[in-house]
Amino acid sequence: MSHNPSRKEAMVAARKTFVVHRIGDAFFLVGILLAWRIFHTLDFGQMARMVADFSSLGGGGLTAMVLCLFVGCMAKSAQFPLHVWLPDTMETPTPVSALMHAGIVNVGGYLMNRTSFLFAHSPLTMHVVFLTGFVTALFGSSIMLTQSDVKRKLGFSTMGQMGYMTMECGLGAFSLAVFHLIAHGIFKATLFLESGMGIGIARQDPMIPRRTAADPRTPESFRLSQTLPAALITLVLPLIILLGAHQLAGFHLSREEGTVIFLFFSWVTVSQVTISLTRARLFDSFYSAIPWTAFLILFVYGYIGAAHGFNLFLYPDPSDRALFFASGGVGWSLFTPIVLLITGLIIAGWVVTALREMRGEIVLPAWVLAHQERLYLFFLNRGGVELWLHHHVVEPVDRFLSRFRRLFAGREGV
Amino acid sequence: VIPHFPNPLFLAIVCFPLLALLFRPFGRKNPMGFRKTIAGFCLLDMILVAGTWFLDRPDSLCVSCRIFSPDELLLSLSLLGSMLPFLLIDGEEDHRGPRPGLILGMLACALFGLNLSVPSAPAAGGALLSGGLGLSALLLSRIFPGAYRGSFFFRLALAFGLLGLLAGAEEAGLLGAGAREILAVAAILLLLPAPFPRKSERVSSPAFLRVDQALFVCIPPLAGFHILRATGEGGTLASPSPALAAACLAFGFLGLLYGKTARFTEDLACGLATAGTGFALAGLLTRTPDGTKGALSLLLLIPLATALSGLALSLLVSRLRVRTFDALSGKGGRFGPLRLSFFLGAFQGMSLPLVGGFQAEWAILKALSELSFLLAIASIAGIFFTFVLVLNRTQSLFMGGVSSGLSSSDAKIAEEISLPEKWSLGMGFALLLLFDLVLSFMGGSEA
Repeated sequence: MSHNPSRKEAMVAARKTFVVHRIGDAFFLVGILLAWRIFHTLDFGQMARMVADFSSLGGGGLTAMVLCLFVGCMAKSAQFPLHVWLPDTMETPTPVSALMHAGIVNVGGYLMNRTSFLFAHSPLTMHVVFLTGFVTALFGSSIMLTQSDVKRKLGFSTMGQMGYMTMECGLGAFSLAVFHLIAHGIFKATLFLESGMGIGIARQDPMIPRRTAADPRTPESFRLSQTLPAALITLVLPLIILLGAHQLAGFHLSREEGTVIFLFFSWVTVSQVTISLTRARLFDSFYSAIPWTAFLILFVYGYIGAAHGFNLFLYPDPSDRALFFASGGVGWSLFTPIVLLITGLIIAGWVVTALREMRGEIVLPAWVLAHQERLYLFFLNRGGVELWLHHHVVEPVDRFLSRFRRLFAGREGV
Repeated sequence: VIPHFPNPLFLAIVCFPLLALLFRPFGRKNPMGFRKTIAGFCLLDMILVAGTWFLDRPDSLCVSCRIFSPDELLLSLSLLGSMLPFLLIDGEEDHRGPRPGLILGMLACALFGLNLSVPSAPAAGGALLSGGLGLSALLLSRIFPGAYRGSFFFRLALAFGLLGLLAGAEEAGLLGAGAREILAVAAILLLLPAPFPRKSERVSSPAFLRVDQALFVCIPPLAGFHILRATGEGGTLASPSPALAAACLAFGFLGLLYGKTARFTEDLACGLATAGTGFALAGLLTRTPDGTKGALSLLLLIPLATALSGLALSLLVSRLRVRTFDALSGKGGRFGPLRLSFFLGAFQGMSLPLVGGFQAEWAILKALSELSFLLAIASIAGIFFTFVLVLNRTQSLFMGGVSSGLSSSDAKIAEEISLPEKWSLGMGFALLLLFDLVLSFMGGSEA
C-alpha cells in the first residue's frame, strides 16, 4: 500500500490499515493466551479433543477466548467498526486493491473456519458473529449505494459481502462461508481489474453510462413482466424455506442440516441480484424474464448443491455439522418470524417500487423522504464512524499523552 | 544450564575488533582506510563467532569442543551490534571527539564487568559494570562539559551502591530472596536510559551522541541480562513476583511515554529500549522457563535493534543537521537505506512474525499469563502502543516526500551513503538477521 511514499493519502491509508489490523491482532493474541491458559496447548487436534469435554473447561473463559479470536477476524475481514481500513485501500494501485479485496479480506473467514470447532462451543459468540455480520452487511451495502467513485463502491461492496460471509459463519454454515469467499474473490478481483478499463472506456465514450434516468432510450413504463420473476422468487422461495424448516417439504435436501440456511442465503442473494438488475432496467419484456427466472432457479439449486458439496468436503463428520448448526441456530420459534418479517420487508419494497413506477410519482410520505435524505447523507459520509473515532478517541488520547511531556520536564526545550 | 564464565575465548573473540585500534597510526592520513580496517575486523569477527558456534553445536562432527552455548553467541552478537556506533566516530569531524584510547578504556570497563558477572556472583559483575559506566560518564563529561546532568551521576552511583550491597549480601548470606530481588531490579531500572533525564541537551556532537547511545542505551539491557540471568532457575533469587513484574511493566510504559513525548530523535531510542527492557524484566520475574528464555532473548535483542535504528537516526541527523522530530518531519524519505535500517531495527520488538522479537515476546506473554492475566493483557497493550509509536515515527520521519531543505547539490552529497556507513548498516543488518536465525533455530530445536 505504501508503494508510492510521496503520495500522502496512500501512506495515511497504509498506516491506518496497519494499525487497525494490529488492534485485531492484539485481541487475537489475548485469545491465543486464553487458549493457552484453558487448554495448555495450542495444537488444534488436542484442543478439539479437549473442547469436546466442554463442561470441565468453564464456559466463561471459552466464550471470552472465542470472542477475542473473533475480534481478530473482524479486523481482517473489515467488520464494523473495524472496517475503517478497507475503503482507504482504494488509494493503492488497482491490482493491489484487487489483491486486498479478493484475498486479504478472506483471512477472517478462513480463520473462523479453522477455529470453527471452538466457535461451535460458544453459542453466544455465534450470535455475536451473526449480529456483527448483519450490521456490517447492512452498513457496507448501504454505503456502497451512495458512493460515486467506482473503486470505492466496489470497496464497500466487499465490506457488505464480508458481512454476509460472517453472518453465514454465525449461523453455523462455515462451509458456505468458504464457498462464498472463493466465489467473491473471483468476481471481486475481476471487477477491480476491469474497473480501470471501464473508467478508461467511459472517459473516451461520451455516451457511457447509457442507462440513466435521463437517457431517452431507457424504458419509461413499468411492466408487470419486469416484476414477475422477482415476485416469483420473493414469494416462492420463502415458502420453500419455511416448509423445509418445518420438515414439510419432501425433497431430500430439506432433510440435511443447514439446507434452510443455504436456501435463505440463496434467496437473499437472488433477491439482491434481481433488484439490482431491475434498477439497471435490464428486464424490458416478459420473454426476457422467463429465461432469467429459469436461470435463477438453476442458480439457486446449483448454489445449494455446491454448498452441500463444500459442507461434506470440509466437515465430513455429521456430528460436527449438527453441532455447528445447533450452536448458531435460534430455534424455529424465532426463525419463522424472522423469515416472515424479512419476506414482508422485501415484498413491501417491491410494492413501493411497483406503485412508484405505475403511478409515475413518489408514493412515500414526506417524513419518510426526509429520513431518506438524512440516511443518504449519513451513508454518503460513511456513517461518520471515522470522524467520530478521530475526534472522540484518537485526538483525546493524543492530548492526554502529550500531557506526560511535563512529567519528563528534565528534558530541555519542552 | 547456565554457561560457564569467564570464558577467555569468548572474551577474545568479542574484543577482536578492538585490535583494529592498533592500526590507528597507519590510518591518520587516510581515515577511510582506517575505518575500512575496523569494518573488516568486525566482519571477520562476526564470521568467526558464527563459525565457532556452528562447530560448537552438540551434533557437530567437525570439532568436538564446547566453547559457546547459544546464548553466549547471542550475547556476543548483541555486544558487537552495540559497538557499531563506534565505527562511525570520526575524531577529525569533531575535535573534541573521544580518543581511541578512551573508547578502548570504556569498552574494556564494560566488557570486564560483563565478563566478571559469573553466575555465582552476578551482582559483583553488575556493580563493576555500573562503575565502569559511571567512569565513562565522568570521562565523557570531561570531554564534553555539561553533557550530563548531575542527577545522572547520582543515579549511576546509587545503582553501583545497590549492586555492591547486593554482592555483599550474597557473599555474606544476608537479606532474604525478596529483598535481594528488589535490590537487583531497582539497580537495573536505575541504569535504564529513560524516563529519568540523563543528558542536558547542551551537547549535540555526533561523536558524543553515538558514544552515549552505545554506552547508556545499548549496554543497560545487557547489564540486566547479565545480572538477572543467574537469578533464574537455581539462582540466588528464585521467587515469582507479580508486584515486581508489574513495577517493571509500569517502568516500560513510562519509557514508552518518554518515547512518545520525545522531541529529539535519540530520546525515541531511549524510550523504546526502556519499554522493551521493562517488558523483558517482567517476564524474567515470572521465574518460569518460558519467561526466562524470552526475557534473556529480548534483552540481548534490544541492544542490537536499538543500535541499528539509532545508527540510522544518527546518520539522518548528521546529514540534515537538525535533531527534533518536528524539524526532520518527512525529510528522511530520500534516504532509503536509512529508512530500511530504522524500520528493521525498530520493528524487532513489535511482535511481527519472522523477527526474533516475536518469539521472545510470545514466550514472555505465556509466562506472564500464568503469573497474572492482567499483566499479560497490559503487556499486549504495551506492544500495541509501541507498534503504533514506531509506525508513526517511521512515517513522520521517512515518508511523505517533504523536501530535505537542502540545495540540490547538497542533497546529492547528503544522499550518498559512505563506505563506512554502508559497512556499519550492513553489519547491523547481518547481525540482526543472524540473531533472528539463531533464535529461530533455538525455538525450532526446542519444539
